[in-house]
Amino acid sequence: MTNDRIQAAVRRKLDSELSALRTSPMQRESLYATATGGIKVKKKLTVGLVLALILFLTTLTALAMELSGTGVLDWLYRREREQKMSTTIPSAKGVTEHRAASLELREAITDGYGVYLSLAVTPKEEGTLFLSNRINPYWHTAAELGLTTDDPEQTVAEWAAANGYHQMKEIRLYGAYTVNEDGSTTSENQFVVYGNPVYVESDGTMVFMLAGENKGEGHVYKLCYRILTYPEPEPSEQMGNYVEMRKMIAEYDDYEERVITFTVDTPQGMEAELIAEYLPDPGHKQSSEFPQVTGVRILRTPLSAYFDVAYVKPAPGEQRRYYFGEPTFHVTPLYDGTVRMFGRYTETLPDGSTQFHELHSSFLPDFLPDQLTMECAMTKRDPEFGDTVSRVYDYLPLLPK
Amino acid sequence: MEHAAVPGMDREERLHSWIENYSDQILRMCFLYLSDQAQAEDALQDTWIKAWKHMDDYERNGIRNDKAWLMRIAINTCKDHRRTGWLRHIDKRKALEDLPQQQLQTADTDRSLSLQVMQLPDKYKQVILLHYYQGLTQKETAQALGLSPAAVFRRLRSAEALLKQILTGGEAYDE
Repeated sequence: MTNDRIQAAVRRKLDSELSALRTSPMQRESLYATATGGIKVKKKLTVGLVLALILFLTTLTALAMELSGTGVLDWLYRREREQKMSTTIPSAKGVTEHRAASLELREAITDGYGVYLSLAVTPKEEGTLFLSNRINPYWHTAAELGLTTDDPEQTVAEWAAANGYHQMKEIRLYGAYTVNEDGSTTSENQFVVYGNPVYVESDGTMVFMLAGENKGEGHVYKLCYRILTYPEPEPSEQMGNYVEMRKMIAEYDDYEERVITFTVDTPQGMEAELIAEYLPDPGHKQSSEFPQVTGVRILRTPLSAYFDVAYVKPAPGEQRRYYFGEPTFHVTPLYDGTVRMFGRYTETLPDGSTQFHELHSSFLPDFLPDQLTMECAMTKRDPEFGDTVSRVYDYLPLLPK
Repeated sequence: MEHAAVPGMDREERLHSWIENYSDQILRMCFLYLSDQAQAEDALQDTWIKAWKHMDDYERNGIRNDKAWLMRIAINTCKDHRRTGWLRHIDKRKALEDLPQQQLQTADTDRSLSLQVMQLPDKYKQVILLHYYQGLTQKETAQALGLSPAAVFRRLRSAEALLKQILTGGEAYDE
């Protein structure tokens, strides 16, 4: 393939992939007026920007955390932070000592919907840098993880070498499940690592924020982890040193699942406030292949905001033959792309039918828009291509109730 | 097809012509660099403000290749935005999924190349965007990035091997 042919292929493919990204005549007029008028249009306060601002403040707050000795509430950064909120120091049981690190579940707090935790990981060997799930130190930059650096292009591996870390390990926090009273587990309740910024304390302890769905008072939670060592980087002609993430699993010498169990006290009198309710636009016909959304409620608690999507699954049949797994929903003006609390529950309606619910924690803009767009994603298998699967999407306009 | 401003245009006409002809290309390049649509739109706006502000330089230096000059401004604007640190937490896959869908009837929906490019380290992303996507020569790419032609040549050689792998269906790297 010659250079010219690569150029042509890259241009054609990128333009095709990004064809939805274009400016309208009105936007171009606005760009012209702004440029020649010399007055910069006020930057839009997009959800992304709000997120970035909040994450920035979160990082600052994390810095304050060590000074103030507080934890989860600082991480969460909420305007209601002034309120007196009781947090639980979990009585963690299970494996908190690993040969590579000591783990301390410092705090847990719930508002009845989400459970938020701070987990401190102290390396046993000096000069060990712990990274959270799916970080490739040879690809991700130190800046992306919130590590202090003057060089925006510096990779995590370069940052580690420059800061005296001689080895890197990954702590894979791949889920936590509710342990029921009979000892069985409910696998729906996944905890996920919250965002990327890992706060590194002066003694080398790394603090991670986790979030999961609250299952109610009396439940015992199980937080699972594995610690993996990054293999030696492989030199690549194309890209210099890199690590094949799959090889971490192959070379992983510590396959045993390690568990920390804990309980969270549900605070009394913490009410969720219903702040908005949206219904599907009656002028829009929902695709019969996708779940039929019946409404979205937006709730606020002192800890977070949540959107609760109610939907009815399509009847099994020919149309759904190639679909599998559960659908996922994003309210696009609210969803910020950051992994947060996520949960599901079901409700039995008066007529005996089942209504499904998906629950996400979310940041909210100051003013809710007049119209929301709901993205529903389903996984589809394409029988013509063997086991090939792809995500397919449906978009539904929602109007205030 | 390249759109050069017509000689003799006054500066308002020239800017207008540029905005009409290059806005979409710059927007897409900024999106690939910044992985965020709102940030890319801000970078596009900043690019035109800077182009207008530096129109004297453009005229005084007798710039012949409008596109290279504009792409240089755009890539540097993206780098400035990157330095602000607002972009640490962008989920690149989500950024792609968030793009409007209604105009995608005839579009390539796999977006695999975009995602691969967005996940590359900046130094490779820059040369791919300027040379392979925007069609700048190696010398123009070097000027735009403030690098030596030899450094750009090395990066292009690495990027070329990577692109060949991606375009021919080979696996370039694991996420």
